[in-house]
Amino acid sequence: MSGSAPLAGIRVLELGEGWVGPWALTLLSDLGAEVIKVEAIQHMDMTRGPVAPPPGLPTYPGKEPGPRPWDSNLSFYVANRNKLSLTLDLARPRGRELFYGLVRISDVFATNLVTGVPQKLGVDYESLRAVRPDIIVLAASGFGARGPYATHVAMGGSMDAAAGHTWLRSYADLTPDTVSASTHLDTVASVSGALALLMALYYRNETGQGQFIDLSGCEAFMPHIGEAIMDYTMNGIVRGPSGNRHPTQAPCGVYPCHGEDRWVAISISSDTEWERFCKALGDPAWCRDERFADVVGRRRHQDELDRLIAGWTRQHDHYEVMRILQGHGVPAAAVLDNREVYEDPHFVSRGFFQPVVHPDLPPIPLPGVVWKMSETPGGIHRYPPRLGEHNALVLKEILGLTAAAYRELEAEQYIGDTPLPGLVV
Amino acid sequence: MNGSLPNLRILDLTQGIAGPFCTKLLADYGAEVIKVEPPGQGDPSRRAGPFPGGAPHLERSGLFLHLNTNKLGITLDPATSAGAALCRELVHRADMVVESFHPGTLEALGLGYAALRQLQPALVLLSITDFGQTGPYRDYKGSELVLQALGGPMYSRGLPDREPLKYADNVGQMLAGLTAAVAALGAIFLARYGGIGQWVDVSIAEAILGSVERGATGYQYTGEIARRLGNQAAGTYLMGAYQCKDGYIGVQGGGRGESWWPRVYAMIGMPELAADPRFSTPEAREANRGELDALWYSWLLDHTREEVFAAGRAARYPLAPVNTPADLVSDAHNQARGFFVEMDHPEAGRLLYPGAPFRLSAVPWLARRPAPLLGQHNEEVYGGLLGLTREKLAALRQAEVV
Repeated sequence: MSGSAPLAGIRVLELGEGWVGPWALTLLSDLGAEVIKVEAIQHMDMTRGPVAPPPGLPTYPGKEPGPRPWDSNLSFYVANRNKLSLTLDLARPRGRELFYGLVRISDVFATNLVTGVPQKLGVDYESLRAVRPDIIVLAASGFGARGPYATHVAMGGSMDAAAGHTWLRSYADLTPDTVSASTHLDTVASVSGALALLMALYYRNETGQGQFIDLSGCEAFMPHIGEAIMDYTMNGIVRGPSGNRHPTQAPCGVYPCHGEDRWVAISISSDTEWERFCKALGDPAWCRDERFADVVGRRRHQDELDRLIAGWTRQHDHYEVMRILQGHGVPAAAVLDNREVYEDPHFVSRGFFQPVVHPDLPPIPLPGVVWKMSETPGGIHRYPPRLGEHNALVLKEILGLTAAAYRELEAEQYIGDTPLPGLVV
Repeated sequence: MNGSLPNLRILDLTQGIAGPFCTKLLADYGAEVIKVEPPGQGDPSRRAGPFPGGAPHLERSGLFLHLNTNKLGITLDPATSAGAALCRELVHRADMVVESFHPGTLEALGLGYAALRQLQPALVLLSITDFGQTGPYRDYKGSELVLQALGGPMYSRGLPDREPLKYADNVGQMLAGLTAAVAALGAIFLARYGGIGQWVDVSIAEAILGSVERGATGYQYTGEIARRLGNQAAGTYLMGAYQCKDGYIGVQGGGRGESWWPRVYAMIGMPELAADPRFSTPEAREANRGELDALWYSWLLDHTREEVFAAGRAARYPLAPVNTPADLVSDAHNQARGFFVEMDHPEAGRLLYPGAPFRLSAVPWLARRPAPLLGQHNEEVYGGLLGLTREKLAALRQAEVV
């Protein structure tokens, strides 16, 4: 990345695993920060998966784990581009001292280990501030750094329930235990972590002060369902799940299309859009039914309306329905599967997916930088790092260790590029 | 210091959800955000609910009140030449402009990036639109459902014999607003400390696709399409929502992470299962899934949400109750952390709002002011910031420019 990248010169230490910590720092690396991901051959990011997985798992390219499965696991691959990988055993004093050496020359330390674990490892804010007074520390966790649930282990799926998303996103006519699991909370927490870090960096640049960021995944998400929360705090109304429907739009739903398991999403927010919709369908008689003349009627008779619309959508390909309706100015979209999304002409035209060249893996493109900047577009300039791949770069070139000291660390298994035998993820 | 973002002024031309959420996040942490609304009707989200007692009112929309805290509000019609001139004056005094008009709208008003950078070379212009500034869908119409269909994991969410299911409410647009705030501060960094301004194009569909749909890459790995499998997808066993005695709980764990299983068995009071050959390997669990299900479900149905949550905490296993909006407000942890904050609004009254998405130790998240009334800060901004006289402002009001 060029020297003019927004975060050029900012160095970040990541002690993260799963999604929340790693993706937050991926976003900063996309902006040009140097992110050093710290793992250990005694304990690696859980998304690197089992050391000796059985064959045939879909998380490996071609379902082949290969000789170093921890370098090719899908979950790790999608969340860790543009980073350097360092292994270092923080549980032993020499490892911790080296880590403090890195903290001295870094701007940010970010972790999403469960509250209590960074303290045990001696990498909590108080310890690190003693090493570098203006350090910025992000501690992301499911429930935050204090409060009754602070030390509770959380993952995206459990936060989804705790923060109110699971309840609201079920099918409206079924119980919540029929809905698919979601890790959306991981996403929200991670992007929120990136924002918090940028704010803290800005504040440090303006004032010279570092600080501690307490990020609870549940709290990061709750503003995203503010509308439902406000309906409760305002009116005492506890909203239930609405499935694909909308409190004020109708029709609003997902309709079957020609072909196997093909669907189109259509939502209509005004009478004008309804008129356009009817025209796009060639004004069938049912469109003139008085019950559908305004949004109140369309909402009241949604089930019947949905059946009539499905009768039309079934005759067409999902992309064709999108083109017809959008051609008339009606919001509609093909529901894309994970093959179609990579081939969709819009995302292709914007160059959204970017090729990644990895020395050990087939070319597997990834979703690219999630914004387009005119002067500093950024991009995927490093493949997701192999475990310990940048040990020498970080310890010798950045930290200045001698070759002899480096060899000693290797011999004593402070560092390495292969997980120790028996490591269970 | 008055927040984490001192000396940062943002001219906010956005309406709806994603743009206003982006600028709310920045305003809540201390940026000076001047929200510009069309005279008369204002931001369309003023007409969205919920309303107190269900009675529509431009100043009482719950969605608007939530999305516009801590902003100054002015009215301005940039389609008039006087309005466009005022807009340029404001841009001149801002570090960043955020807008959510349909692509091409600003250019047509003479306020496109090329024109604005003439006024202010280090200006950041951030555009948030449904599909972005380029590409074949640039002029398509979006909505939450439509954007989740194109960019989200919707196709693979839900039951196999039912239609694909979106995520709740407007979480796609909210995520895009959050993502745009990250991009905004990134661009501000380069403008402020490197003197380089730029135009940032955020597509809501891409913001969703880029961060949410990690499963998309699965096809690249296997050539297989991710299908809807309902609650209990193979290989991710013990993931999703389950019924217990008095409601539902949400779980993520198990899967193939071997270190999780002893915790599950400890949690349900049968630690010996960890050494039981029927349940001690992934293959054995799959072969004996019926038996394992029976143990798991009967334990759940014997315990309340609170009991299950407590057992999960004791066993260090990631599960939690499925909470409703009412549960969130009464939750002991949320209360102990003081997550919800009260704000008084002249029209909507005293209400509880969702609070800080994260806590910065140096400067608190601030509930300095509720969402602005339509045009509430016209005098403060036009008089104070631009130095317009009362007479001039009255004339602009007369001409419906403000």
